[in-house]
Amino acid sequence: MEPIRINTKRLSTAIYNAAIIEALFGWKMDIGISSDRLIFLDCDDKMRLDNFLTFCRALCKEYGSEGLILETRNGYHFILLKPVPSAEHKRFYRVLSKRPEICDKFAIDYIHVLATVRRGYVTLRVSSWTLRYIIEPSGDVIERRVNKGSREIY
Amino acid sequence: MPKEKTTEVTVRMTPEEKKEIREKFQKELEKYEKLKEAIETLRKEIPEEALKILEWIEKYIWFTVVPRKEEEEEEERKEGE
Repeated sequence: MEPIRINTKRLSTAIYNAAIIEALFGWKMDIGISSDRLIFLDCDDKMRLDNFLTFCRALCKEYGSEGLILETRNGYHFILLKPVPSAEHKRFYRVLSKRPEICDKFAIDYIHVLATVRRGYVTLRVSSWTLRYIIEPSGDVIERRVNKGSREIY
Repeated sequence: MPKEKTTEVTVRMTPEEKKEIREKFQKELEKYEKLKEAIETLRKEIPEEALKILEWIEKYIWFTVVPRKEEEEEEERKEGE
């Protein structure tokens, strides 16, 4: 059975819906963002950030776009800041779903990729995000340190 | 404009009925309090920084309410097996 999911364009509606479900049924819910135009990747292994960064840098270079690496409770999220056509978005995840060894090598959550292919859109949980790195279109990585400015690391 | 006719009605309730209504009201109030609490918690979980990032990409995204991670991962794994 597909777990309950509610899609809405407004953040306030999402928060309200999640709160109602929690208050009425006691089910804990999270708020996520979904897209069929932006590429999101999930990394659940904090120890393998370097591997994940390598893949994300290559993507930024290929698409000529900036990317963001966000730290979460359990790992990292990547957002490529360039919208792609829906068909290309689907193709990207379909290809990745057929290459589990690539996901494994670059610490990409393969289950997340499979779920994306099945649903036709990608979802990331928003809670406890911290912007950790900005990847430039050249592939250069800028570390963002809270209250200490930024520094280039690659 | 003609004055609206009103009729005053006095409802006499037994102590049991009063108790029942009070309990019902209390339950509704608890639900509302829980709801308020849940909204506050969820709002706090989304940092200011995340809101800024969402503003950049709002044209290309929508919001999804999903079950807490542990539950969903478990579901995905079961499906995969």
